[in-house]
Amino acid sequence: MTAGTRLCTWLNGKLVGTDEFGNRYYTERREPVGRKARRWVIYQGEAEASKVPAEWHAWLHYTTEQPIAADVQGAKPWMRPHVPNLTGTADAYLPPGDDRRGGRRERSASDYESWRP
Amino acid sequence: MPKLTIDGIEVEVPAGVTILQACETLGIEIPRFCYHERLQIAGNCRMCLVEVEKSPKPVASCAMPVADGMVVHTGSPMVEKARKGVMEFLLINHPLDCPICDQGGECDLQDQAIGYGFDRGRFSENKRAVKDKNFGPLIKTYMTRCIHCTRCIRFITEVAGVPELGATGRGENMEVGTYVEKALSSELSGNIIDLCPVGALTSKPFAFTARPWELRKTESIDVLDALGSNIRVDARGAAVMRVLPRINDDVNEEWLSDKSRFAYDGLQRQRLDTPYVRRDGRLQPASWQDAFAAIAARLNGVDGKRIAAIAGDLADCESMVALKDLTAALGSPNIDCRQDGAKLDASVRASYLFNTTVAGIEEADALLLIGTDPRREAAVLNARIRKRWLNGRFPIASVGPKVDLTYRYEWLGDEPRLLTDIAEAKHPFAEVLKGAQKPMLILGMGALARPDGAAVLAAARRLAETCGMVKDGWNGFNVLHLAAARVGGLDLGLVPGKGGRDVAGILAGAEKGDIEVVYLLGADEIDMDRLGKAFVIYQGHHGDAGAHRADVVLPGAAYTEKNATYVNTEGRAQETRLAVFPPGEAREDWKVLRALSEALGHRLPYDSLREVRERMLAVSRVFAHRDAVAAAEWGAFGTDGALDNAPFVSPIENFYMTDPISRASKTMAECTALFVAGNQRKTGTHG
Amino acid sequence: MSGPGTTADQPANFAFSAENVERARAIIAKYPDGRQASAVMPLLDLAQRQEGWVSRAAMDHVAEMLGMAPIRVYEVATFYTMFQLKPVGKHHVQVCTNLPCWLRGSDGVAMACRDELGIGFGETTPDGMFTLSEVECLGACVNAPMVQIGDDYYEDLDPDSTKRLLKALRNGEKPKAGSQTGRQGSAPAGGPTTLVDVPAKQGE
Repeated sequence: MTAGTRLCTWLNGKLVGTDEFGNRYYTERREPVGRKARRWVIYQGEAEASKVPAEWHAWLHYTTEQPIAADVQGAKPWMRPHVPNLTGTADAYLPPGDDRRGGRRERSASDYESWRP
Repeated sequence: MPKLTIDGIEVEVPAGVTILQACETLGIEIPRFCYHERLQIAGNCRMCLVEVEKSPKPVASCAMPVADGMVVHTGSPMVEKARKGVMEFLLINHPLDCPICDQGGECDLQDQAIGYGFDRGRFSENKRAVKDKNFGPLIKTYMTRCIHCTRCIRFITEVAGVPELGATGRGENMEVGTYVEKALSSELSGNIIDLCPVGALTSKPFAFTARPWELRKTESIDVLDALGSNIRVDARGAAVMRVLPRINDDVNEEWLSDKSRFAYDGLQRQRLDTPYVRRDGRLQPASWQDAFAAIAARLNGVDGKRIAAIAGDLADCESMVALKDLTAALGSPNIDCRQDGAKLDASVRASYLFNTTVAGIEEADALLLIGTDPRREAAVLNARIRKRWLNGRFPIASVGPKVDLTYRYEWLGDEPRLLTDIAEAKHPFAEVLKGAQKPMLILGMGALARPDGAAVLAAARRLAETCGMVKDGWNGFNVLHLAAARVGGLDLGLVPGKGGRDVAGILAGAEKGDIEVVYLLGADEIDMDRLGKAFVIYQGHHGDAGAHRADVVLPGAAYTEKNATYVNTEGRAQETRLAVFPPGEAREDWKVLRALSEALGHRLPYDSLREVRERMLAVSRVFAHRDAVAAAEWGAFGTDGALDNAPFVSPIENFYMTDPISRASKTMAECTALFVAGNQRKTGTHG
Repeated sequence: MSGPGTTADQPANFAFSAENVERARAIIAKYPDGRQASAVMPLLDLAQRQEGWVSRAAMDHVAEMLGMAPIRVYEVATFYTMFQLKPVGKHHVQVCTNLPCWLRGSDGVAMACRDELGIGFGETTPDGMFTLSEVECLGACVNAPMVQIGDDYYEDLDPDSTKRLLKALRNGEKPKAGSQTGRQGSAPAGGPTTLVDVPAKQGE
């Protein structure tokens, strides 16, 4: 968070809510004229766009007027907790057969059997 | 010529042509299931109905000959309604299992249901179900899907000539099958998979492996027999998933033999994917540099006369010209492409070609087979002979193995002396040949690959000349090769140079120690035990006999993995195209030889495929034209000599396994176990 | 082996009796050279008359005699319903249940057969005497209802006459074929209806 963002948030921001990861969501304190009120997020820790869970993502992008509360309506038993993009981290997905997963994979039709003397 | 009007267009077509064919000349496509250009007309699917004015009912256009003044409508409301009705009836008993059907995406019924299908079923009764048949290891059946077009029955009966399929029962109980459970024993059985308009007959090895739209299609040439059938190689990723025939009326029409169609799984097994060098008596993986260094070290100081090269049955012309240039650079005259020892004469081109051409068989009016079993040696060519025989007035006689060729022929015996008898008109069949306008003979490798082969060749030439087989505009002298590489090798002159040794000489020399280094370019069918202590370099794509014996193994590319030229038995130069890349470290064969030549200090003067082909063209003008046959000039060939009394036998014991690819194929192994071993058991008990 | 009406229990081989070999030769001789395949149906019939049914071995034997592919004979034999592909009893009772027979009471005839023989359609009595089949129209509608037993038609049946007929067969008798009510051929059941009066002499 830069100093400018901090100042702007302190002057203009109205806290709308906080998600389960601690990211804080703001909108403008005064209703602007001729345009929609800005909505923004102050990340908890490193700024990373994929940290925004789906329900807050919808609000940020003006898909919904009010933020969707993750725990009340529409929560289904099969819904899994939001995971930010793990690419580049130690938890990144490795396809089966990747060397870092042991390099073993199922036989595929493209495999050939090489001759051994 | 009757004149008729189709959809308002007046057209004049030859008499006897059907309405459907007349429509095709105008580019109007009539939907059909049972009709097929190369089979007899059945007229039982009723999909091709058209409206003919003054006819009270819609007419099946595939079976209706045109008449003068006919007025045909192919798109009128009556036709649409009739076809929709037919389609609804066809779908009554057809399962709606397209998502799990292998024909999905290339199904005639699926395509035509788009045009004529009803959007819902009105049939609420039980659908019929038919027990699946077992047609052997090649064809998978799902007979509930059968729409009784009878194309498979007609193909097996007419073209393949092995009447084993039929329609038993009647009405709703009609079933297509063999009645008595048995595998189809035809060498062309795979073609019924292509003919089947629905998913009733599908390929067993291909079953559930890929969808047609995810395959990469490459037009290529088959090399597993010498006919050079035109094929399409369907690949996905790095694997060839299936091989299908391509239409070429001059060669294979639209058929393909089972070996060519199903041996592709051999391309995935026993592959040479890295160079090997023998160290301490064991072949060990090596880099290209190490392998070349090992060869260079061994060849250093060896006299050219003590070096020999043999080109095998699947070698392409590019690699053979490189091999020829390399051995010449090394100073060796010992080079041969006739690994079976056939006494072919490379000096007269007409002496080793199928001069009549495959399509020319249909013009011939008498045939003499000499030491050949075309059914096993070139199954598709045999179908062409059968086609000619079915047209009538085509006497066929055979001097050679007594086998079932799917057509009637007069078996004269299997002794070579019969050739001189016929040539000297001492045999009654000479009269038949002399009385014919366009007589032909087919000389097989069973007659030439024997010690007196040159004398047999001369006797066959004399027979051809005395019986009027060679004249203006007609050459009835034909050699049927077994190997795709043979004609190309002879055209490029891969025969012993001055004072050089042929294959028998090379083997004898290697046994005695006169030959120190033998280069095998995919040659696996020679007796490896006779190579003695020679240093053997094997270049090829499969770990077969040659690789086991070799001291250095250089991995090459199989026919689906290179852009290469092959010359078929007619002398038709055709190109295979790269469908998948060679596995691992393997490279295109001419490149291997080019790289090796540099390591040996005799750099070959070509760096690209274009330059190799220019070099081929410099050696032989044959390569100037692709996909074309030029008539070869007649000349004197063969060596007059005494004919041995040994009978002619066919060199092919097992149709399904003749080369490294088919020997590595599991499908072909299953066929061998079922058809070849099974047959032997039968003759054993018949004793 | 597939298709309805066949049996897995097939004899290993078949040969025509000496007398039938002669007959077969005579049948084949009726057809011009190269057209012997036309004799397939008479020969299959001959085989059926000899064995009572057409076995696989018999079909193969006929194919061999005529130089045909066996599958062509199988096609013929399975197409025609009058070739029996599994053993039938000594008397093969074929009851027509098509429309005209049904309207005239074939249900009763069929029921009488079932009661009398104790078997249903497609079955054979344990003693091997009778096989009961339901067949399509046999072309004797004018004398409906009817059954065919062996080569003979028994017509104008009712449940009672059917039972009588079967009893007679069981006792080894040979009942008179044709109409069981005694009418002549297909003449009207109640006697002639036309041309009953003596024609008037010309000129009177």
